[in-house]
Parts: sequence; structure tokens; C-alpha cells
Amino acid sequence: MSIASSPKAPPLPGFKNVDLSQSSVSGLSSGAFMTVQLHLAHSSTFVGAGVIAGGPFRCAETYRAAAIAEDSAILNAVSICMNPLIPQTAPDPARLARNARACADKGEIDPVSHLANDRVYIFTGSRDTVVNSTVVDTTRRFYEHLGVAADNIRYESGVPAGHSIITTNPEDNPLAANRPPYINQGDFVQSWRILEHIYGPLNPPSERLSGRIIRFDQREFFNGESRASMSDYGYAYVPKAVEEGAPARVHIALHGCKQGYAYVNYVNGRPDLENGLPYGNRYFTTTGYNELADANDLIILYPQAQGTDNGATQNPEGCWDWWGYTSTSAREPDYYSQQAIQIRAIHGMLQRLGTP
Amino acid sequence: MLQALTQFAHAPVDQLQTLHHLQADLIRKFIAPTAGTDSHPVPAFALGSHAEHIRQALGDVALRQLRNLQNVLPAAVKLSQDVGVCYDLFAFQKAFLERLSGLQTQWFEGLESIAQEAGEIRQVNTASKLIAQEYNLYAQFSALLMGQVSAVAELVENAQIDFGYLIAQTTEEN
Repeated sequence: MSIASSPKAPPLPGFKNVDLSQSSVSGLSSGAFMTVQLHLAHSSTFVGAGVIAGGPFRCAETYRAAAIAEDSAILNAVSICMNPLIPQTAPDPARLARNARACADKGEIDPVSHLANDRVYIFTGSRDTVVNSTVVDTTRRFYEHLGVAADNIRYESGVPAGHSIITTNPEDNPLAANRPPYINQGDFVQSWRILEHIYGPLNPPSERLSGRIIRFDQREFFNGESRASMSDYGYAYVPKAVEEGAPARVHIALHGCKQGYAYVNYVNGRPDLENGLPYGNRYFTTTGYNELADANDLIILYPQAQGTDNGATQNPEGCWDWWGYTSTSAREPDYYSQQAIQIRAIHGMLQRLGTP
Repeated sequence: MLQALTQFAHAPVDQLQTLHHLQADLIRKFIAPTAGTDSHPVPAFALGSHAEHIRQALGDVALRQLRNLQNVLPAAVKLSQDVGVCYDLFAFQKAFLERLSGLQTQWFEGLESIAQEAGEIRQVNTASKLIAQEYNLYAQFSALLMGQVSAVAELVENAQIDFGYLIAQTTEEN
């Protein structure tokens, strides 16, 4: 069942003085898996990444012998990449690092040498029941295998948090919760930790935002193809100073499953359109990115994924693609390279922001 | 241990197959008397295709199990002599049982919650409200049951994939 297309929104604008070579990306859950993919695909553009509860590059292809049916990758994703029964059945970071180098040699992603000086923040809550901590630990080791200096990696695993991005908002879920909207209250703002780890000391966050959240039409970036499983609109926070021409950098913040603005809950296999969820805009308004961006001339780009559940594309929870559901080939799925439809779309948005 | 795991994995598959047969019977009984009209024909092809998908999914589960057995049997002697592998298999079995136990706890908690709510149904003023409250209990039970069946199936698939991967790694190393 498809949801009607929305009216056109203005295109994503470009800005003067945006230094795209200082871009970075972060995300939660499927957004974290996509963060790793995007980071590797375009490592020459990015200076760092923030991975909250995400696994390593192409881990969904770890055990291809499971490919009795076309659903090998999703089975790998759900088992090995999210909930391995024991640490020995988690992804193998050394092997995945070798795969990543092979991808780079084939020109599918940027040379991994660009990662060497990048700064990477990796987090797993010790109460996370959605993506097991043993998997996230392999992400840390994966980056080390690719040559990222241990000192450049901030790995946090001791916070008793559930599957979530952490804020200090009293409205958010309790810290240990593992339920939508996957935004939990703790004693720190995680987006600030990510940005400060990547960019070093920053000005304190603004108490009152000077800039604005802009809505733009995402469809031009994926040619409106439904297999992209992306929403009609995306969002970006632009500080006032940046609109007026101040030098700026871009950070891409990727929501997780069930967190896009257009997410619709499915009840007994049907979209529950009568009861729209009230939290669709929280990821791009209340996770703290905008306040720190405002004080430091950062543009925050919030691309939006959307649920699609039909015979061709099975992504009812509106997750970013890290197991191949957008791919036209089940046997050789491309969801990770520079040519993958979602990566191409997000990278296109990034390029646009730097083109006045 | 392998035999126990295999039996354990088969039980939910058998249950799913039984459920599938019941579902197919129900659909046949429901649809058969309806001849359909020119403008609204009975979607017989779609139903057949649906049943085929279920059959295929269950077949995949069984085939995956068979493949795991095929992989593990030739290497069984070697594996049984490897202390590290024995330890991994023991940890695997323990993790599987822990997760199953967790599902069982959720099942009992869910039942308890429904039973508690059933006992708390208040006096209602209208027949429609009474029907709604009664129906809610059935709907909650149905959701609980579906969640459990789905979670057990997911755990079985998880165990099959993990087990196959574990054995594949071990035989590669040897």
C-alpha cells in the first residue's frame, strides 16, 4: 500500500563559504550502519563519524552460505549484525576490513587511506537489546583494522542505556528503554559529544536558536524512485550567520528506524493512517544537534527515510538500507557503494549545500 | 547437544506448519462459497501465491537446518576434540536457552496482564462499550500470541544462521 505523494517543497539551497572537505556524519541504529557506509564510501569528504549502536561495513553479507533464499542478507542482518547469540557469531572485523579495502580497490568507495586521520565516536548502551554491544565493539575494531588511530576513536560502552540517542530532555524515554522513539533521557547530550569529538572544542550551545529549519524536496536526489524508500521531504538546520555568508561546515544526522517524519506504524500489516505518531519531527528538532550547530556555524542535514512494504521493497520501519533492500540485485546487492541509491542521494544533498 | 538443538528448532517449525494448514483451510472455507463478481473477482491466484510463499519460507528453514547438519557431521569428530569449539557450542546452547527463557517470561507476563485487565472490566453503560472491552481482550491475546510465534520463529532462524556461521568459521580454521 502506498501513501500519496506530497506537494512539492522548495529545493535544497546552497550556501557560500561551505567547506565540504570538513563534513561529518552520525546516526543511530540503521542510521549508524548507514553512517559507516557513507563514511567509507566518501571518506575523502568526511573528517569524522558518530556511530550510535551500529555495526561494521557490509556485515549483512558475513555468512553468505545462508543464501538458500534471496533473504540471506536480512537474515544475516537480524542475527549476526544485531543479535548474535555469542561473541563468536558476531561480525568478523578483520575480514570486513579486507572486504572494504577490496571495495576501494575496485573504485566502489574512496581509498581507505582517507580514514587514517578521521575521528570516530562509537557508542553502545549496556542495556541495548536491539543491537547487541558485541556487534558495536566489532565496529570499533573494524575502524582500527582500517588504520584509524586508537586515539582518534572514542568508544563508550559503559552507560546503562537502551537502544537510543541520549538527550537531557525530561519528555524522552527513561535511559534504559528500548522502544520508540528511541530518544532517551540521560545526563548528557550525545549529539554534543559526537560533534565535539569530531571537531574538537566548540562554542557552548545556543540557548535560543538564531537560524531556521528548512524543509526541502528530497525527490530530485533519488529521481522519485520508490525503491529508495526515502520521504518526499528532508530537513536541514541552517544558522543565521551561515545564511548571511559565514564560513560553514556540514554535519549529516541520520535517524534510525521508525524515526523519520513520515513513519507510519503498521498494524496487522496495514499502515495505521488514522493514528499518526506524534514524534516524527523529534529527531531533527530535539536531539540537541541544532543548538550546538547554531553556535558553531554548522549546517545539520537531516535526510529522511520512509517505510515501504510491498512486493519489491520490504522496509516497513523506515530504516536506512544496510542489507540491500533498495538494490535491484538480490545476489549482488549494492547498498554500500557510491552508486547505491541512498548514498548517492545523501551525497547529492551534501554537494548541493556547498554549491551557492 | 546438536540433536537437542535440532529437535528444539524443529518444534516451532512443525507448529508453524500446522498453523499454516489451519490458515489455508480457513481461507478455503471462507472464500469457496463466494463466487465473486465481474467487477470484484475472487483473487484466487494471489491466495495460491501466498500459500506458496509460506511453504517456501518453511522449506527454507528446514533446508537451512539440513545444510547445517551436512556441514557439521563430517567435521563432528574433529570438532568434538577441539576444546575451544566445545566451549563455544556450550555458550551457544546457553545463550539460546536464555533467550527462550526470556520469551517465556514475556509470555507469562503478557498473560498475567490480560488476566488482570479481564478481572478489572468495570460496569459499562452501553452494549457497544461492553463489546469493545471484550473484544480488546481477544485482540490483546491475539497480539501476544502473534508476537510470541514471531519471536520464536526469529530465534530459531537466528540460531540456525549463527550455528551455521559458527561451524563454517570452525571448519575454515581447521
